[in-house]
Amino acid sequence: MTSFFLNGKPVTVDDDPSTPLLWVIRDSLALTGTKFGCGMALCGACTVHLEGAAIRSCVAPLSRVSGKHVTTIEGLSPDLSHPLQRAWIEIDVPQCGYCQSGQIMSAAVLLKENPKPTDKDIDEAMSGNICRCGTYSRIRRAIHRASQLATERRPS
Amino acid sequence: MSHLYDPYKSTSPLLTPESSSPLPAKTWRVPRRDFLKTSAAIGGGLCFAAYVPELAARALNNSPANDVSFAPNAFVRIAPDSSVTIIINHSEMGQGIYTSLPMLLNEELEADWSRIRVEAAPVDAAYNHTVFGLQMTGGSTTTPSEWERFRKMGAMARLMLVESAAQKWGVPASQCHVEKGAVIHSASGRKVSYGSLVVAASQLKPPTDIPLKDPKQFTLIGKPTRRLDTPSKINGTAQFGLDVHLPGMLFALVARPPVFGGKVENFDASEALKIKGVRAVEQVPSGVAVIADRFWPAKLGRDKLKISWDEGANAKLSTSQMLADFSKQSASPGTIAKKTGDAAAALASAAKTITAEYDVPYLAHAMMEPLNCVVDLRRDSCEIWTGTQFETVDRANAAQVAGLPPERVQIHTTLLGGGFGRRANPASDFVVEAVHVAKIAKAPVKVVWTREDDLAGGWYRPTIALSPGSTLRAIPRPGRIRSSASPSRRARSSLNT
Repeated sequence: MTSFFLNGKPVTVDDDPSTPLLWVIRDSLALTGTKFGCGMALCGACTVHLEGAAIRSCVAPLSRVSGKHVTTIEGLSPDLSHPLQRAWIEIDVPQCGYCQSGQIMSAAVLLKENPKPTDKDIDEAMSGNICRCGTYSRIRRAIHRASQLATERRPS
Repeated sequence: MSHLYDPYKSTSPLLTPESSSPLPAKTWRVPRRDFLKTSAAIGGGLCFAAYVPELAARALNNSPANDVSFAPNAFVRIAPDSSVTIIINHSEMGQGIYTSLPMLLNEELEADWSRIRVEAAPVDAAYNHTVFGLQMTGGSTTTPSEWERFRKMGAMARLMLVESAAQKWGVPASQCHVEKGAVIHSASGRKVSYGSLVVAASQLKPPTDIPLKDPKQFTLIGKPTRRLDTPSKINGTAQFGLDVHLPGMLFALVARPPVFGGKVENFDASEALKIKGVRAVEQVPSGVAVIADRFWPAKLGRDKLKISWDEGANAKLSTSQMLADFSKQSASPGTIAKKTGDAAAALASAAKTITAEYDVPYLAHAMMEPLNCVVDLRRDSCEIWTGTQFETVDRANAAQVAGLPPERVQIHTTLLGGGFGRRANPASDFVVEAVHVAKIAKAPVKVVWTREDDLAGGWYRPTIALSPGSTLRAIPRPGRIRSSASPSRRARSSLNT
């Protein structure tokens, strides 16, 4: 048995501790917003937060998150109110949408660490997230927009 | 406090309930029995109704009161609360048709755009492609091929709603107009919502003459419109094939031959069967299937398989050999598709002739979402959930393997994490294989392809060798092309300037 916190709630699973976190989240805990793209940390579709840092859940064994906090796309906000989600809607970023959970989870960590990223900062931080539809230019615009929205929301 | 959660018994307590998505998020978590009921209702009434709307009305009379809705044709349904469900017969794989097709329909229906919901169509002839004659998505044809039909389906619904309101008020329909999901009698200012007209409109005979708007009157078509599916794609609720969960569902991976056309000679499953969670390992026509409780044990089990392959006729085939063959063939005369002018004479009298050889390798489509397919095979039915571009063909192929008539096979088209043509092939490879696996699993089963399977697994874009020859006069200028191509995808062309 392994216990950890998923989107703030305690969970316990009986998967083998070597099972990649991705499959625990998807198959055992039935949260399917986190996607399987490559299984080798090459595409970023499975990106989640572990104690606030972006990790590729497809290569992170369950044992690594024991007792820790994991956040998935479902836990980013309860109502699409996160600045990134608002910006993503405003700019209509997704096409097929399959990579977008991972894109947003990576961008969330970037903005937390660097609230006013430059184009270069964004390209560097997001280079591990592949989009087969090629939405990169809208992703970059939306991250800039989210950065603005986050600032606007804060009381002065 | 902690809890154990069984994904097959209830909806996840961890799901965020809030969603402003117009897509039916988590639809596929409903109990299967309800689903069959729903499918049967759709199959019996709505599907065949595109050109025979009376059938839809008839089905309505048999429905329980809380299911009452106005379904004038196979593409639109209006509920008593004025919400509108548009049934989409093409697959959404990133091109935006879950928004563009509703725009076409609602341009004529003029319902409140914020009340529009989208639902994937079941497989039925009513949903066939208007040009290709089967249910499919491809060739960048969706919006142009539906340009007229979707507008007509919306206009048909609007005409019936207006007529029912006019009858209610005892005024001519010509004195009424519509606005944002309501019929209005201009002279008296009376107004009634579409939802309140659901029962009355269902009793009307559908019109045969359905005039469409002059494009100058368009208020939605041609206007920048936000995609309806964006919210669900940024909060984890969008359902791709890989996200489908059924009660009691098993997971399977298939070990496929390293060479196309290869076959299993023999295999040893003893180590695979030792993995906790592996239920069965059996041969299927495409290879060896490992069936387990979850994806990960199935993957570990497959890694432990010892298989001896008969690589067959293609064992020695190589890319370099194929290209050499193509190159040789491209030097022989091909079939002439079009001939203009006298290319031979132009080539003979050219000041200079330039030739070059180009080749394009086989290309994997590499969709972000690897191939997958969920099958629930019963004695007398087969339900399939997958992101496909080729419903009619997939259903026919699946029916053959299942030993059922096609009408006993239903395909639920999910969102596609990319398609690019890979999910439309005449053999329905990923669907047919999953039906074979379901025969062994004897439970609902999800067959998942890993990324490596997907890249190594074929139905690539064809390889091509091309040898254009050019002749130059003194001053090069744009010229005409004589080209020829044989069915083996080699091509030879001359550019005659």
